[in-house]
Amino acid sequence: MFIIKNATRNIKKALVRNILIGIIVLAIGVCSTIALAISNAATTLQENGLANTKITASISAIPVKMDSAATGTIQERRKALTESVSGQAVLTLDDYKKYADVSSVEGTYYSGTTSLNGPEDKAFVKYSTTEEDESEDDASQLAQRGGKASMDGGTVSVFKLASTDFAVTGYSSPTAMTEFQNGTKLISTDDAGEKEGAVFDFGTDNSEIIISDELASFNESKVGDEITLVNPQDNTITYTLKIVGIYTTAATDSDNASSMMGREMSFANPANAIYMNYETYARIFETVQSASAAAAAAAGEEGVTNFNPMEKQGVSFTYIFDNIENYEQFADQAATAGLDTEKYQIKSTDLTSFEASLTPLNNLKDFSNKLLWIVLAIGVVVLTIINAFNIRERKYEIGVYLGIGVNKAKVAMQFIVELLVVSLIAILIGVGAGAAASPSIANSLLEKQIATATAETATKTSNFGKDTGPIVQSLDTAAGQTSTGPDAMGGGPGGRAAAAAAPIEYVDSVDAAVNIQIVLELILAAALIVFLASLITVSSVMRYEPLRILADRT
Amino acid sequence: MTVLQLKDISYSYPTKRNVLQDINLNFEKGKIYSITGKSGGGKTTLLSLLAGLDVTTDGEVLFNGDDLDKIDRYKYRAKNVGVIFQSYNLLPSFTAAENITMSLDASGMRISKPQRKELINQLLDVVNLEREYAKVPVGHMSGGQQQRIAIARALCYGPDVILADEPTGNLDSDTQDDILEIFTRLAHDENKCVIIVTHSKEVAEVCDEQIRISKGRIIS
Ligand SMILES: Nc1ncnc2c1ncn2[C@@H]1O[C@H](COP(=O)(O)OP(=O)(O)OP(=O)(O)O)[C@@H](O)[C@H]1O
Ligand SMILES: [Mg+2]
Repeated sequence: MFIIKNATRNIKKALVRNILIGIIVLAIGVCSTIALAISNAATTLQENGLANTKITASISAIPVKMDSAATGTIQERRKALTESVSGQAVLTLDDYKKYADVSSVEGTYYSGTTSLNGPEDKAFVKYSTTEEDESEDDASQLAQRGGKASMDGGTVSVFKLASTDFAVTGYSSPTAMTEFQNGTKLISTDDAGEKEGAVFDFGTDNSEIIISDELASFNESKVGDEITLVNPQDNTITYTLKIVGIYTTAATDSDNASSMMGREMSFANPANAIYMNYETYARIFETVQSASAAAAAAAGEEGVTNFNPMEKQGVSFTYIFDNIENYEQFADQAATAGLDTEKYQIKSTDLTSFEASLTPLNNLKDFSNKLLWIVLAIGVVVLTIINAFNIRERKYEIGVYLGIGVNKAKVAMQFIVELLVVSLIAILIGVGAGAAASPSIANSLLEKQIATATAETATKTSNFGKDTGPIVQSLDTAAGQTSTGPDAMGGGPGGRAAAAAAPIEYVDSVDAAVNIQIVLELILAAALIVFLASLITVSSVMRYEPLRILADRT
Repeated sequence: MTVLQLKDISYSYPTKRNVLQDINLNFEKGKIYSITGKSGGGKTTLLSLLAGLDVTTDGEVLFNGDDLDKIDRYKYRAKNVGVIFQSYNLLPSFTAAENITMSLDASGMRISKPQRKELINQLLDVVNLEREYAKVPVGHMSGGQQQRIAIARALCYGPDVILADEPTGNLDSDTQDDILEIFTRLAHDENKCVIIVTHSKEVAEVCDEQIRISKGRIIS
């Protein structure tokens, strides 16, 4: 009773001193509220960001180290690459489907890509950006493309596949067409506002295709036209395909460095991508494969024939999981189903890109956490010092209390209660102010972090040509690009190349709202600071003897 | 009736030995005592021991037969004994009423607000101070007025023993008489035990018993 009454009396008496303490605690409160709100928001986003979203993942071969290949002649390098790739057992569509049977997998989709040429009569030609490019003869084009390709894909230039006109991709289902799912590509509308056809049907080999608006207008093709494409290995094998739709690529800000680069190189021009269902594709792919084998046999280059990663890889298979927990179970289940985890890895680009998107936020979180500890430490130090002065100044008062029979514990308690009451009032005001300020402060801090992260990415891109995980990614894409042509740059098998090339969309706003938990944490923190600062109070009061103090006064 | 008893007391400060030696004294309720003696003789030291502000080196102080070493000294000071310090020891920034209330709260006495106000007024009447002074910060009062507030504070919770160190030291003779009258009345009419340390012969003569100390020993 004495404690509370006297504490309130004293707070009122020494208003200036208490306001000073209050301001310090208030500053601590504002800073820590903001820091906690940011850190809390980051954690929530990290934990819940993927909680209810579907996750997609694919299985890929773990790249073999090719240290020896980095040095040596072209022939030596080609041999090493051949050995390393052909040495790996490659998964077939049936393998992929087998692993999809496990309980964690919700669904699957898959696609395959190969290359075809235009017909000899030039009734249908590839889209090209420059006049000269079109007028060039095949030989010089080959040389040009080969040169560029080798820059990217290592040994590509030695294969005839590099000279193909069109990248042909077959999809198992609409979900497989990720670019059409996320709106990067859509069926275009003509001048009259009518849709130009529709996406082909799935499930049966129907020879239906959709082509890009650029390619369509270049060839003056319309929906309903039939075109003929040619097997790149054997021009006697032709394929008659029916255009059922024309698509357009939505203008996005993803016209970044690498897709610009793609447009420059005509062989990689996304406008030359042709899409169909997987059944149609599978029929075409089989003939391309056998023609390629025949051609190689005729040339007597056995070793090299084996090295066509696309032939082996063929299919890009994607597993869909209902949630992250299921995805995390998949590795074990697939291993039980027979997947050799020494040779293959399971990777989710969703997860990788989600984690990448959190980079600035996580940096901010780290910063906030550090700030929080610094602020709290400074708080303890400053309050302890103020408190120590406070106690010295009030030594006589303590003597009086002890003299009139208030015991030391009560006197110490009274001082602590005073500090606690002032601190709690200040911290509550601080939390209020911090809560009001934290969303905008958090977001402007985040903006700076994004700017930093973007600058870093730009540096990496200019150094390595792509952003994430340079070694692994470039090996993956190199293998994928060897025979695929245009699409490798745009969508690529399994979307790996896309993931590497697409700009990371950083989480650019954070809901740094202050919740009850934060308020409680801060009150607790304030209590802790007061407690620590109060240790000095307690030790001083315990040391004081009333007689000495009161005698000093005389 | 003996309320306070000193049995074979001796006391040494860490830096000064034998400040008090072989003291045996009995203090009774209803009587007023004076302690006189030369400066440095150990009067204040003796009062501190009686107030439980310090601990004897040898011997014991008994309150109603209980050794002070064995009871809670803080409680003893808060409830059973009222000390009027030579330097008053009031909190100057608090009003007279607040200073008194603090002691009331410390004693654990539970009274309602109006009762408390009434009690403070009565105490101010007792020490001959106008009631308006209740709201005046003690720091704004004269020495004599502070002295009287210190007395009021020592009386507020009705202790059996009142200890006063030079309570008239800085007062003019009229005020001194006033204060002495209060102490005598407390002893004789209210059955308190009042012990006054003083240099003044006048004061000592008014008391029922006169104790004289020299060099730490009682000489009469
Ligand atoms: N805290 C202390 N430490 C050491 N010695 C002390 C202390 N207080 C007092 N003394 C010494 O003890 C002796 C008695 O002091 P005390 O204050 O009891 O004297 P007193 O009789 O009250 O004197 P006065 O009449 O001047 O008030 C003195 O010699 C004094 O110097
Ligand atoms: Mg003295």
